Amino acid sequence: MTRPRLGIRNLSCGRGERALFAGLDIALVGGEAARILGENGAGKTTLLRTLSGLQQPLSGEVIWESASDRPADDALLLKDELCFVGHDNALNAALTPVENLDVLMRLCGRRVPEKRIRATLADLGLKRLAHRPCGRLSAGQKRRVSLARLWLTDAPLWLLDEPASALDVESRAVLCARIATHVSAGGIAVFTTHEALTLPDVPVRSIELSPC
Amino acid sequence: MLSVFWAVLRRDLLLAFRQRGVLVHHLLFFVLVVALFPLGTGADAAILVTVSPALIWMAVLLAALLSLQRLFKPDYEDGTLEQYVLSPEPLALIALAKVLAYWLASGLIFVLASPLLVLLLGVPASAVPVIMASLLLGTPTLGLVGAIGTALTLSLPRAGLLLSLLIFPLYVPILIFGAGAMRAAIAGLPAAGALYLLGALLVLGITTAPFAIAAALKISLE
Repeated sequence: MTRPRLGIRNLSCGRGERALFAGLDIALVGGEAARILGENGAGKTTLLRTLSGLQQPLSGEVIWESASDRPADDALLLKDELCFVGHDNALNAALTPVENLDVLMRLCGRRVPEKRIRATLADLGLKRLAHRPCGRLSAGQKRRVSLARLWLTDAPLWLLDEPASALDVESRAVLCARIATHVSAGGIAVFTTHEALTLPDVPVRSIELSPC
Repeated sequence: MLSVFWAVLRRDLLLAFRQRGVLVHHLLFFVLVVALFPLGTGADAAILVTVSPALIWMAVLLAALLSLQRLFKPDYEDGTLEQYVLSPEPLALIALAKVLAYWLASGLIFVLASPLLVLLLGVPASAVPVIMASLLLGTPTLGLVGAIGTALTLSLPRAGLLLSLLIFPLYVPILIFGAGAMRAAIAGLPAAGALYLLGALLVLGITTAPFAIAAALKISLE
């Protein structure tokens, strides 16, 4: 089985014209996770957004080599194989977790039966909240609902921005276990974090962003 | 591909239904602008009938401006917009679904409320079908054009005024032909020409505006 690859070559990113970091080189293959470190404002979120394609780099390039045999110049390749959990939860306050997750998965091009969404929420201990508007959930509960996407997706590349923010100790362990399972199954996970996230039995590379 | 169109349409209609208070506000705004106007002009029936095309269309434009500001804002604030842009599905199609849902929940309601309002202004009942047709053809174009403006001003903190400066000039043709069709109908003249032009503008809007909205949304997220 070929493994997917994420290559970053001589990447500089910034807000506007000002570069936050420059000359970043990383090569990740399936089965590896990367943790992005750096002080506040070092460009961790900017790096993740650049990797996802939301933002254009100032210079350098991001290369995604899929494990599938689709041509590499397919513009939708990265979008099809990406699960991006941003800093914001992407949950509408007036919709329930089930409704929100249904739309989010369809947007990723994956149709997940409602039964499976409910089962996943139940597994994550959110059964009682499955039909309550997201606006009435606590910050940690919203984060857990948003992260439930990780149990529903089959995308090989995960980009997670502060996934553990607002999570309690127990949920954090569940999240770490899920990321570890994904990575040991040949996926790639890139995440930023301030909390110590330890992934059991999985190589985690540290990427230190230093201001330029 | 169409699955995502229906999913977004259904989501936004569900949201509009859950937050139906907002719909009522927009409808009330529309009704009040039209209903207060005669208090300023006096009850001269002839004047009211003469100005009614302009009045109805200005009320629709103002109500559209008010409601358009919320079209993409909640998605922008809660991060859903990032997921739209990252979706492998075409962003233009998602944008079209959002505008359609927006129009069904605001423009269409104005169309349905308009007969009552124009009769209130003393417009002859024979002109009502043309008036409704002109609104039916014109209001979706208002939504499509306005959505480009809201998408462009999304990341700005107080975008209301800029939004109106951006989109009101683009509304001029719709205003001219929309009010023109109504004037012709009130005078008992054939209004088909103006209606055809409104229809042509709508087709132009549906085929080109979604791509412009998609490009504007991407710029706003950068």
